[in-house]
Order: sequence, then C-alpha cells, then structure tokens
Amino acid sequence: MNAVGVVDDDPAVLDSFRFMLEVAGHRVLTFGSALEFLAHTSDPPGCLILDQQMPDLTGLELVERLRLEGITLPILLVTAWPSPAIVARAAELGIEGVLEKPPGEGEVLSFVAAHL
Amino acid sequence: MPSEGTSAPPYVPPDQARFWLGTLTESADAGFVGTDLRGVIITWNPGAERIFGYPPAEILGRPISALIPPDKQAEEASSLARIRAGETSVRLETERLRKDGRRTPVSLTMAPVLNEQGEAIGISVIARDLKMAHFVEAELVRREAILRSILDTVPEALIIIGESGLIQSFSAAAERLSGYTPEEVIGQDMSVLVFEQHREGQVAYIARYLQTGERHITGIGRVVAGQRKDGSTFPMELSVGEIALPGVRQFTVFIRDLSERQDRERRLAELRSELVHVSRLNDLGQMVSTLAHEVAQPLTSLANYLSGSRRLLTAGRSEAAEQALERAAEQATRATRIVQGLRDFVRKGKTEKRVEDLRKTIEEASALAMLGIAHKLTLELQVSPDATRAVIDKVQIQQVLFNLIRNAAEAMADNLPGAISISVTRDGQMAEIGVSDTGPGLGEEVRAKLFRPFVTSKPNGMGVGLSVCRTIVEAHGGRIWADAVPSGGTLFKFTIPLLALPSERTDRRA
Repeated sequence: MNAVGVVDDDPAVLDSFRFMLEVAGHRVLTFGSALEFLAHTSDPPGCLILDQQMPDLTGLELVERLRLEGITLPILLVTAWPSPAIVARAAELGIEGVLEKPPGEGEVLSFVAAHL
Repeated sequence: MPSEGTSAPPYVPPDQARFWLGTLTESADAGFVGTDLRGVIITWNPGAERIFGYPPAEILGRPISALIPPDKQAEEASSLARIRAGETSVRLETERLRKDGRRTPVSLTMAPVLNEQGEAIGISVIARDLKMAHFVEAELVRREAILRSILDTVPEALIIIGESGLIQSFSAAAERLSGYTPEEVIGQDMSVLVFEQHREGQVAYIARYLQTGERHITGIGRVVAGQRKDGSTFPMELSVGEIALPGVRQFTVFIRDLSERQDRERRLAELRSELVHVSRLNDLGQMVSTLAHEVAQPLTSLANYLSGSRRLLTAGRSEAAEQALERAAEQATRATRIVQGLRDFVRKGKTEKRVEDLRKTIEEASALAMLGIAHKLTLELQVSPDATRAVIDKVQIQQVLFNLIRNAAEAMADNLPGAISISVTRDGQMAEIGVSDTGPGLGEEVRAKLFRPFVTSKPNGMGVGLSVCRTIVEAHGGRIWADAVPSGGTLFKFTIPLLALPSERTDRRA
C-alpha cells in the first residue's frame, strides 16, 4: 500500500506524526527536510503532510518544485501561522488543504483517508 | 548784624515789614499786580514781568485792561463787581494778553486792598502761569490715551495691580481671557482670577513679595491654576513686572492661558505613549508570531501522541501507550519552557532606569492626567518620608500613573464630587503606590480580569492600558493589583523598587 509522507524539520513532530498515523493503521515515511524528500525517489508516498516553516526550503517552495516537475501529489500543508498570503499561495499551487498547527487529529486522518 | 530780634509778637517789627514784603514780592514766581480803584496798574513785580512780558517801566500807570483780551472783559467786570460787593477773594482761571500779543493761560486771585479805616484803596491781583499746568495736563491726557490704546490692543491679557494686589487696569484681552468686564474686577484683589481652591495661597504669595520685595515673583514663568468668571479653570502663566515710580508701587501682570500649549503637550505625551505602546504591540506581534510557531510544535506532537495513545489503550496495548505518553509528557515540558522563556523575555524588556524623586514623578503625571478634566475633583498626594526615591524608568511609571489617574477620574464622572487619593508607602525594599477613587467601584469578577489584555469594563476600552501597566510594573520587578475600597471606590496598587539606603546597599553586597 501507499505510504503517507510527512515532512517536518522538528524531530518530535515528525516522530509523533509517524506514531499517530501508524497506530491508525497507515504506513509512514518521514523526512526531516524538503531536500531529503526530493532526494527520495523510490517508493513515493501517496499523499504528503507538509510543514511550512522549514530552514532550507519552505513547504510552499517544495510544492512549487513538485508542481514544476508535474508531480500532482495530494498535499496537506500544516503551519503555525496560516497568513492570508500563505493560504492564497497554497490555493494557487493546488494544495488540497491548509491546517493550522496543532491540527485536529480528525482532520489529518480524514485527509489521509480521502487521498491515499 | 543788627540784633536777631525776639521771636515773639509782633514777629516782624512794623518798621521792618516792608523789607520782608519787598523780598517776598521780588522773589515770587507768581505775578503780583496792584491797581488803583480805576484799574490803573500801580505795582508790578518781576513775576508779573515774566508772565506778561512787560518790564515795570512799560506797564506802570497803564490800565489793567491792556492785559485783558476782548472776550474776557465781561468776566473781568463781573469779578470787579463781586469785589465791590464785598467779596474778599475772587479766584478764576482765565487768559490774559502778553506784551507780544499772545494769549496766555493764567489763574488769578483778586482781592480788595483796604486801608486802616477799612476803605478800599485798590485791587491786588496774584497771577499764576497756567501754561505749564496745561501742558502737563495735556500730556497726561495723551499718555492716558496711549495706555488705553495699549490696553485695548495688546494681544496679551494685561492687568495693572497696586501694592495691595488690587486690580487697577484690565486690558481687553484680559476681558476675553477671564470673562470679566473691567468694571467687575477693578478694585478687587488679583486673586479673583486664581482658581478658588488656591486663592489663599496665591494671595499669600503675592503679599509676601510685596512685603519682602523678593524678586522671584517678577519675571516670567510662574504657572498657577486660573479661574474664569464661568468657573472653568485653566493653566495660567503669570509674568510680573514692577513699574518704577517713586513712592508708589504698581505692577504689570501679563496673563497667559496655557491650555492650548498644555493641550498640545498632553497630546504629544499621549501620542508618545501610544507610540511606545504600538511599538510594543509590534514587538508583541513579532513575539506572538514566534511564540505561536514555537509552541505549536510541541503542541502538535503532544496531540499526535495522545491521539495514538488513546487508540492503543482502546486496543488494550497499554505498554505501547505508556511509552507514547512519556513522549507526550516531554512535549508538554517543552511547551512550558517556551512559555517561561517568553515571560523572561518580557520581564527583561528595554527600560532606562534611574533614581527618581517619587513626589515629583507623581505630581508631573497627575498634572498631565488632570488636564482637561472638566468636573470638580480633588487630588491628594501623600508620600511617606521613607519612600521618597525609587529606581525606575520615569516615563514608563508615569504612563502607569497617567492610566490609573485617568481611569479614576473617569470612574467618578457620574459620582461627583470625587476625590483621588495617591499614597506612597514603604514595603520592605519596594515602594507601594496606591491610587484610589471614590467612584462606584468594580466587582470582584472584573477586578480579577483587569490586567489581561483586551479585557475591559468600559465601552471605550481602556483595557489595553492596564495590561501595558502590568507589563511595565512587572518589568520593574513589581506587581500591580486592584482592591475594593470598603467605603466605595477602587484602589489600584503597584510596587516599584525603592532606592536602597546606604546601609541596605552594603548589606546587599555582603
């Protein structure tokens, strides 16, 4: 089955997402940075939970790259500060959803269920 | 020299009388003219020569009518008639002709000259030159007109007071400033223009100056509370100058209404305070954004661990759940540390602390806060002698005071008359400052929430003010709270660090 991808520079956040999703019965692939994700080409995840605020490439910048390469992976952007600018840009990039951190458990799982 | 003579009647021996009279006549400024009953001039003194221009040789033996202008003949006739009728002294102001034909103003005293039998043998006329007197009078009138013009047009309110402080003159601008007409204040003590409650003190101040001549009342810049006819008060600047006149003490007092200037200063101070507040909000905005992000991380992890743990417990996998919960607890601790770090950051906030005199600090803030408050309030300040100086950022603490005093004043707006009472007492190393009002007071629930941001009991929201006050006070290491006053009203208290006494300082170092 397809895995859920999680990209976040905070190790605790990454680990907790992995835990939560596995207990819910999903296979999870975790990446500590956007670049790490881009470098991973085998076994692509079926959907992505993406943090916005990251040191080298932000979540939105990663999505820009992916869209440029024609990758239409369903993406859930999770951010501590969903400013109007971010929300607008996310819409432009065809991101399926933007959630405020901390996201509700139900919302994450229903995204995964819908798009995996 | 002949014998000095006795100083006993007759003081002038009859045979010497003519020497005395002769000298008096020769040296007098006034003109002494004597005529016979027909009006022929038979005596003439140097004074008369000066006034009329005729040397004796040219006038003796001529009729006195030579000196009388045609339009004054009738007047002369009537004077003579009065003398013939028995009047012993006729006084008049009139004009006579000089030798050069010019008219000259004179005052005349005419009297009959009687012989031993009491029969009239002639008329004596004493003439005084009125030219100078007329000139001086005209000059007085002119100067009075100039003064009047100055008083009417000087844009500053000018009053002239006498030695006892009574108003003598009142300019048109003073009328406009005070609402009084000159008639209403001339003759009254200058303190009628001073705020009622301060009148005694002001009168004493001026009286002291007038008695001691201490110069610090004169010059520019004394500001007192003024009061207009309608009872409204305004900040009044007095500039007093003494009019240099021998024997008489008079003072010019310029009065300026400083309301506009103080209004501007107050607006500036408010703007400055707002600016500081806005920049704090800006910093605050930054901080909140950072905080939101940093705290969001452990919260997210926490939520995830908890959600998974719940599922594990439902599935009976308690050991795995236990591990996850441990990690959840770690995240909770992380979040707590972030919040604590924020608090430390706020406490350290940028301040410029210096040693300040508390009475002065509070008085300045009160003056600013009470400006423009239309209703009648008394403000009382008591500073305990062991709590006079503190180490504070004066501008910030004044912001706190400004907030508290204005709150107090507004609380009492419907509860007049009101009294604001400010006290400063010592509490260990801290000064405790209390600001109380006699308003309706606040309920316990409201008091508990007062210092949170954006909580307000008033429609126009001073809630943000109190939260900033708390930030400031806590940045000084103090605390701020509100108590109810049993007799009604609210008492705000806050603490700030006192300047340590030398003995304390040594103790601290040790």
